[in-house]
Amino acid sequence: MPVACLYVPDFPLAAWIRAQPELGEARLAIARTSGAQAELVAVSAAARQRGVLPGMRAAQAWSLDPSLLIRPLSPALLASAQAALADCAASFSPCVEDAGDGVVYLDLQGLIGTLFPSLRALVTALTQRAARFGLPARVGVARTKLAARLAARQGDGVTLLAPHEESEFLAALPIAVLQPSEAVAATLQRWGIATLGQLAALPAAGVGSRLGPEGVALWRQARGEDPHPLVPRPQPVFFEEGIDLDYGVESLEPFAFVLRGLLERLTTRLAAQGWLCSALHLRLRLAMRQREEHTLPVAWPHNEVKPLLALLRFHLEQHPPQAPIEGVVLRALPHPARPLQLDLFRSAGPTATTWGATLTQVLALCGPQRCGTPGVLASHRPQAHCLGAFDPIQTARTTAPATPVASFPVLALRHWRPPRPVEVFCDRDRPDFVRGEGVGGRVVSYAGPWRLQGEWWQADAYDRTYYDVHLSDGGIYRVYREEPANQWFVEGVYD
Amino acid sequence: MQFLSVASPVPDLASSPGGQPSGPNKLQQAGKAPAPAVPLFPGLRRGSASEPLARLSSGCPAVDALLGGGWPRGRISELCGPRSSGRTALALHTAATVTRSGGFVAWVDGADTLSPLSLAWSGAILSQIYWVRPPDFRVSLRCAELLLQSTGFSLLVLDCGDTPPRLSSSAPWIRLQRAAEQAGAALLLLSPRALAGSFTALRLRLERRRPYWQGGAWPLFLGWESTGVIERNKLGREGKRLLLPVRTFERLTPGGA
Repeated sequence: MPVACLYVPDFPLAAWIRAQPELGEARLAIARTSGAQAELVAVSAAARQRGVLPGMRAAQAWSLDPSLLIRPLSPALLASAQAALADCAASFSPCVEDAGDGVVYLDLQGLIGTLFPSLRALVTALTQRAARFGLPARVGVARTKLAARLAARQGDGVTLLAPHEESEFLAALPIAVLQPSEAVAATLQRWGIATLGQLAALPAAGVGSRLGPEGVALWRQARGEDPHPLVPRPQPVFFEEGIDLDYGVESLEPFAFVLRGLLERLTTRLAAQGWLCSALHLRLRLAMRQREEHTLPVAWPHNEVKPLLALLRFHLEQHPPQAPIEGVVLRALPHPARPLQLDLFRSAGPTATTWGATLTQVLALCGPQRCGTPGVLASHRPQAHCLGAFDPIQTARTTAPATPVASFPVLALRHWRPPRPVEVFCDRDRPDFVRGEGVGGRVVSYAGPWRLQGEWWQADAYDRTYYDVHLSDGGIYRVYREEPANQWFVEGVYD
Repeated sequence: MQFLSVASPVPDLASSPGGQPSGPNKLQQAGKAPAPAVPLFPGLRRGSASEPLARLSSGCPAVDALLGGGWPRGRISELCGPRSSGRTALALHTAATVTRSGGFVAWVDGADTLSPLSLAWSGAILSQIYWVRPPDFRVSLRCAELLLQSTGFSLLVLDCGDTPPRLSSSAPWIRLQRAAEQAGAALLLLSPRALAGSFTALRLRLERRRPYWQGGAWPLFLGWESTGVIERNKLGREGKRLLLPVRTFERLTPGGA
């Protein structure tokens, strides 16, 4: 069973560069904390040329290179980058183990010869996909996880180990790659054992009696034995991207830049596995230790960044955070892309992505309560209606065959929401004159009255007396008197 | 403007090198019939009259006849008229016809006055209608443009309300016209007055002529008859008129339910 290991060297550095690609060319170092005494854990190649090395203090590094950029370790960025690396592997194989710290294993069983013509082609595609995710990954392929990881760490890009090459490859590696404890490392050094090959050549019983269980484990690893099988990770139920900001962001415009980057990375991860974004969940870490969470449904599952960003912006404009934003985690709920059987006799129409982008932008402009498919409620309440989700693709598949409509326009009501209050002057209990905002005139003719009562068991029960009135201003209106308050309203105008 | 017809003396560029019109050749000069020319590019046609514009039926034969086949696709049409003139009823009827033929309709309700009940009674399939209620007119225009750009709707109705604001620039209408043209959709503006100016391909103005009341001890409002006149038509004759009945079912009145 061939196992591939995806390994990202200088993982904290790669995580920062993934979030801010403009840092890729800069002299950059990552410190464990912030401050002058913070220890550097990763250093870029450009900074190494100036003499800056991991393990130095930030103040030391600045003395060597005053223009060195130092960023703190960001747990949110590391988690996002690790999840992205696992997603990259999961887009090739369903059997993926997330080992953390920039290491991911994947099972290559059944991929070569079916989906990919050769192992080399598969590994090349893997590295290219990782680069698209913003992670410069190295790949090692071997029979065991240990050998694959060591091949990836020691190689400079892609290292493929055939079964007969593994022992030779391992024998040449120094003992330090197995990261023994200080005591065991000192003992081995005293014995003159420097490579895995020399350790593997020792008798097991002797190693066990002198070095104990750790020594035996090292001896087994030096022989290429790996007792740990590949443990697949469960299928993720959501995808997350997060970032800790250097300072509190107070206005929406700069925060939109942050959100755009998060969305771009998130949609790339979703698309690589054939998912679509069906909802967004925004978790904000604010100043003064406050937190806020927002959930935004997407009108139609899709992966277009621009409309999703517009949706987030619209929501944050409507619900501004209560304090400056210091950190953000954006979570996307995945939705499977629906298979669509095209109709032979109909045009294909827009794709689901096009629909999704359009409907999400309209949703962002108008709000979720103001767009959708109109529906009529099964109620006697006048003009009772609802708003449903617009599903053009499902509707296109289930539409009834064409049937004719009437050959003349049916009278329609322009429904005024809410009904406008008016004054109605009556003559012998008949409406004679109507006066109100945008409405006014003598009643030329009328029809009615009709009493309408209902929903008496609810708080908003209705009890109305309706009239159709033709006013001298030219309009024909539907007016009603609310009983028992005796208030008049115009429900709408016939048009 | 004069269009080139098939019979017009257009020089045959394909048969003469360098694109120069060829004069009579030696065979013709000798009085012999020329051999039939084999077109070098069969897919290319010589200048011909422009293709007739696709139309979207309004569902009323009389209105379709007046409009020259229906509302023009890819253009802006205006349906104007005062209150109770029947413009909403005709727009709903068009929407019903489009949905019944399998198309999608976007209704950008700038006035927030669409009655889903009236829409259902007009015969429309509600699941094929996308109803948007923008907060203001500027957003209405933007929504209309976005929905047209999706190319999924056959008809977009933009209801501008009773008092649409005057735009300082004609840029929105240019963009809407372009979006409608690219989508091949009919864009129908509902307003009391002309809005899009010279970007309107067709403007139908409706005026209520007389209402119908059923007399007796219990009078009923039954509808009215409107007159329609083509005020502007880039695609045909202007000034044509029709009489359009706008009627109700009894159940539309609340007491008749």
